Amino acid sequence: MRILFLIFFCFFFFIFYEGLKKDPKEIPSNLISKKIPEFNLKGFNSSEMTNYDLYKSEIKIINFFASWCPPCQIEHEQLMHLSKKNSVFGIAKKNQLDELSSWLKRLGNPYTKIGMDLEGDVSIDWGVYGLPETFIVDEEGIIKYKHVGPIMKRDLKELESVIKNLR
Amino acid sequence: MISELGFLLLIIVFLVSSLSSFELLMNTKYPKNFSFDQDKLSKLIFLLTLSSFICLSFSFVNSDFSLNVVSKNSNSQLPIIYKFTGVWGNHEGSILLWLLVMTFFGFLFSKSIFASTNFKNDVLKIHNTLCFLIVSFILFTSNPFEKTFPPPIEGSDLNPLLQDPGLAIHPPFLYLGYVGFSIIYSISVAALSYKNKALFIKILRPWVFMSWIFLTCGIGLGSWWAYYELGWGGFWFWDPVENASLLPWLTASALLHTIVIADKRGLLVNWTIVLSILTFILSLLGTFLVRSGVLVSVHAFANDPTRGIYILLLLFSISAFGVIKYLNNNTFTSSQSKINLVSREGMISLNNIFMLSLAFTVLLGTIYPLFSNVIFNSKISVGAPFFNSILMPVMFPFVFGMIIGPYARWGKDDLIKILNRLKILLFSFIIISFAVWYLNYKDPVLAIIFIILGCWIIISSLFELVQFQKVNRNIFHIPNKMIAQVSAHIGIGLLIIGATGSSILKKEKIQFQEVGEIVKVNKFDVQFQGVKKVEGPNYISQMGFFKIFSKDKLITILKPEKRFYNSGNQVTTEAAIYSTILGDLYIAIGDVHQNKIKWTSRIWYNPYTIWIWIGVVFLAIGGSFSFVNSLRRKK
Repeated sequence: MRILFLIFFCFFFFIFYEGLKKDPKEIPSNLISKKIPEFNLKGFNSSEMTNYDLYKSEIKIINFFASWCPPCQIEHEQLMHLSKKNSVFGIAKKNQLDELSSWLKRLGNPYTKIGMDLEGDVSIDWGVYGLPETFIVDEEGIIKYKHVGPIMKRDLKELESVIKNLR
Repeated sequence: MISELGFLLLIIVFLVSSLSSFELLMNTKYPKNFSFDQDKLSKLIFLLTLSSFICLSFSFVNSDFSLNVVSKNSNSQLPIIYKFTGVWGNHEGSILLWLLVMTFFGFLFSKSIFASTNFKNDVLKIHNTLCFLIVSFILFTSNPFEKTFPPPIEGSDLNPLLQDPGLAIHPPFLYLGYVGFSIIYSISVAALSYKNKALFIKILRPWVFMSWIFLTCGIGLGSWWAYYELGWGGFWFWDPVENASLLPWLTASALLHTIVIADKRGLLVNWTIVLSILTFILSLLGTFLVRSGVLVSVHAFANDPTRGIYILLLLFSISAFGVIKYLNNNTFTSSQSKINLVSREGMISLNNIFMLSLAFTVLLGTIYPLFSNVIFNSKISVGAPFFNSILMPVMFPFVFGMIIGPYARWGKDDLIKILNRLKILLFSFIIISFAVWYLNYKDPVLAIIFIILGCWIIISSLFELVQFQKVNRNIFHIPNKMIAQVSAHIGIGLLIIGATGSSILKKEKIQFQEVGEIVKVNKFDVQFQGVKKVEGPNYISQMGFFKIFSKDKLITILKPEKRFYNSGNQVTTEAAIYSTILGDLYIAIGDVHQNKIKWTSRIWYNPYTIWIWIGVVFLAIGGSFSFVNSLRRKK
């Protein structure tokens, strides 16, 4: 009985002690180093956007956003900056066409191509649980990096270094 | 000057209480070699801690920003009441409050006239040692009297969410409950060294009820605050912090049922002691999970790994001490008298099994993310769906036990005979079930079932009073313990109805609403009137105006707010609620649309929510009657 308790105590102590060293807030994406999920969406200015658009040649940034999401507006300036040197693809979640086009007219359009995720199920496949979220995908369509929340000026450095390392 | 005094007083508390722990340590090796008058020590410790707490309160009220905690959690613009409640609106101060409550209970126990001097000495020795552990935690890791240099001219604000009467009184209540379990632990562990443990059950009883009442009120207040302040439209989110308070509540509820058997029949005495120790261990575990930052929670406490390690050591040393004492003094012989399942004590044992299995599953769900992170290195979050789905199957046998239990006789009874006695009750069950079903037939089946179960509990409890009156002819001389049990059970019935209404049956509408636009929610028409800027003492608020009509008659105007606090740029939502006995209309206002004429409004209709709080009041009343009863019976 005593030994049983001792083992029990040691086990819990170990778990809790190890737990102290970890940060529970840090959430890695399950998709990292996996292939991008398949999808086929209606395009914004094109007939469609599919996962095959993201296999082509270079490193790509995929940004999940919506015109109704205020933080997306905050990161827009940074996306414009990133789009100068990289190709940025957008997936607009539950967004109406007219609202999106007026929004892009006002703020500028950094996106090479935009998919309209009207039902929001492609966002679910990508494990997006809040807008905006941004992924970096390499030449072979493997997800390399995920950024949750708006990209602020201070985040640019890290994103750019990730892209640089991939190239 | 005052703050230095407060610090000095804490050091004296540390030194004085160390005498007790020294004695406790030495006596386990060389019995009765050292002896201090523990009685006097605990009085002294209490007075010193109280003075130190007053010093800290004084610094808060006078905005002494040279203290680190004051500068970080207060502000000169703050209304005086929140300057004071800011004392426990931060980690350091709240642990000092914890110590104060703990020493206060030691002080109260030293005044107890029921315990023999020897036993009192043994209990206080353990209790003062617990105080010693907490005071060293304060001094080494969370000193509230730490200075900051140079002192800032103005403090950053008290977290705006805490600037609210509900939250100002919620932590002290919770602590009175949590910490109350420390004296229960001390009494139980001390009782282990005595041959006749049943003697101590009477001493233990009032403490159990008292702590349980406070914890119940504390949890109720916290949930009420979350309901109206957070603007999420719910009252319970299965957050780790909430679970941490629910765990000791569940075991304490099991304990206060068992202690009745232990007192009346002399059965399950060992089990009572185990539950007492377990309850305090769970309180400490909750503190560890909440304060060390090992789990993600909506409650933002300042987290610091060194504190986490200290609390972990505290948790394990206190648990180990209790367990070792128990193992050394118990021979694990099964008690001579067997308990029949169909009997009052059998039903109460059944209650214990369900309470504990519930506690175990909640515990598992709460710490599982930690396990999976450490062992499998994978992040998992366990949310409300898990807890709701485990709660449901346990509810059914639980409710049946609650209905039959009070009618079962002590010793031995027969299920058929019980049901025979309850013919009228069973008949009224059928009628009420049809009535509820008829009134709500459009709602989900699950909701109807739970509301029926809630009604059954209430009716069967009221039926007890009727039965009693039949036998005794006098409704005014109902014994306290009966009022207690009936009231608490009605409380649970109401809680089930309220929780069902505000979770399964709730209706939610989120939209952009234009000025003048009407949104229909349940039977109400909600017309948006516009938004006004209103200035508070230390915030600016955007106050929305909503006219509420029912059948084209204006009932009330609701004014939900979005407050922007001047310091720290924090924003809080103040929901506006129109409560009726059938349900709450609940409005929270969001951001303005780009076109500046539409605003986001979130409107909920939460049926029966008010019964949750009324249920908690019933529980507390029930507990109070038991408490008074347990005090009287000792004389």
